Amino acid sequence: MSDPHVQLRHSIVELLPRLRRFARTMTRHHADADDLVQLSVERAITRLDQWNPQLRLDGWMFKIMKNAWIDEVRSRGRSREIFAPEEAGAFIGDTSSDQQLHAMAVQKAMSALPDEQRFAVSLVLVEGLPYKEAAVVLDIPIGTLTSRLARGREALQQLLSDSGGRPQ
Amino acid sequence: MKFSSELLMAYADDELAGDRLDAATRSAIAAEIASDPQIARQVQAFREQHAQMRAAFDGVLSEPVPDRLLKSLQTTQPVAVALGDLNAARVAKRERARRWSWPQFSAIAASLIVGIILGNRILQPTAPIRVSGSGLTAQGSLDHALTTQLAADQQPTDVVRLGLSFQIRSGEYCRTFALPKQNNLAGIACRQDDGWHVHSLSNGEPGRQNSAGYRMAGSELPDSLRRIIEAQISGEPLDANAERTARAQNWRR
Repeated sequence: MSDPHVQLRHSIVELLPRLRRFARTMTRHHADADDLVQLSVERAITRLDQWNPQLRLDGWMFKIMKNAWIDEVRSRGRSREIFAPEEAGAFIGDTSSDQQLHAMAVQKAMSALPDEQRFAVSLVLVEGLPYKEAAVVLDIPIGTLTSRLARGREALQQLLSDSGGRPQ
Repeated sequence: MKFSSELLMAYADDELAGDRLDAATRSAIAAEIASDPQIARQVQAFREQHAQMRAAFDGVLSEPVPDRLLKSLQTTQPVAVALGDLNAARVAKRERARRWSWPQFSAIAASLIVGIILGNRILQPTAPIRVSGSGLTAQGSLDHALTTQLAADQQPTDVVRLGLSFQIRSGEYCRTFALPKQNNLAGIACRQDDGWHVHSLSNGEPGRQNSAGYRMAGSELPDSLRRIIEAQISGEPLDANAERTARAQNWRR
């Protein structure tokens, strides 16, 4: 085998839909999200040698994305307020139904969370990472992850009950 | 309250099955849930919220992945490299370079094929196309149809729909095909010594499918495939008689 990374590239292709989802919850913008995925994939490709097969590939990619996004936000030098979240509904189709309206309410609430809570909620609740893996992605101790997650969840519940969204 | 909210949250998220909490604590929480409706509601609310968050962002997963993202995984390799054995793909690339002058193939179809292959799961053993030592090759029902089925004799119920048959400049016979039951996957296959090589693939356009199935006259071909044919065809497409003759000689030039 002259290229040991064939399977790895294939696995990253398969992850793309999830990378796009994580990018969207993280950036709250369609275009930013895909730019971020592209940038992160390009970075990942140049460091496939650093990939440790003991780790989850999704977590590794998420970490590259998180770091790339933090760099991007810093280099843009803008305040967080300038990154006004897109209109809710960025994740779903045109047709509306109760379920979709509810999804929109959830997205809106999610985009109102501070970054650190939103990233924790996204990794654990949306992407399904174990706390431990999510903590590694975010470079924080698991206790910190747990408390950010708990605060994020509390805020979400609050936002959804305030907005009239169904609380469950 | 006996247990912290964070602990109940972790319990609800099934976090405690691993090393973070011993079995005794887990069963203590389970006992608490059984006896205290307020705790039970709290754990239940965490679980519902988890499911709700998952569901709210699922939509993006079914969106088509933009080409540019697939391309970013290609680097200098031909597309099959990402999917199959590298040496095989290198050989395929060399052969393609020698026999084909299809710039469209690499430029248009490459990233498309990665997505199509993944999207249609055509790498399964029973799939109509396999990634082999020489690239993408028809197998099973697709191979059979390409070899035996005449466009003129097709039934609406046929699993594979054949469209145009034509020769390219090297003399090889090529045929366009569509698989109506596989998301209208459409492509061009050319006959070589070891079988039908699939050189282009496209997701067909369901809107253009008529009720009798995918007839795939030239005008109904996906644009990406039509452009490739226009660039490669030698002479006119085969008529019914010429197709029959070509089949009789097993599609050999």
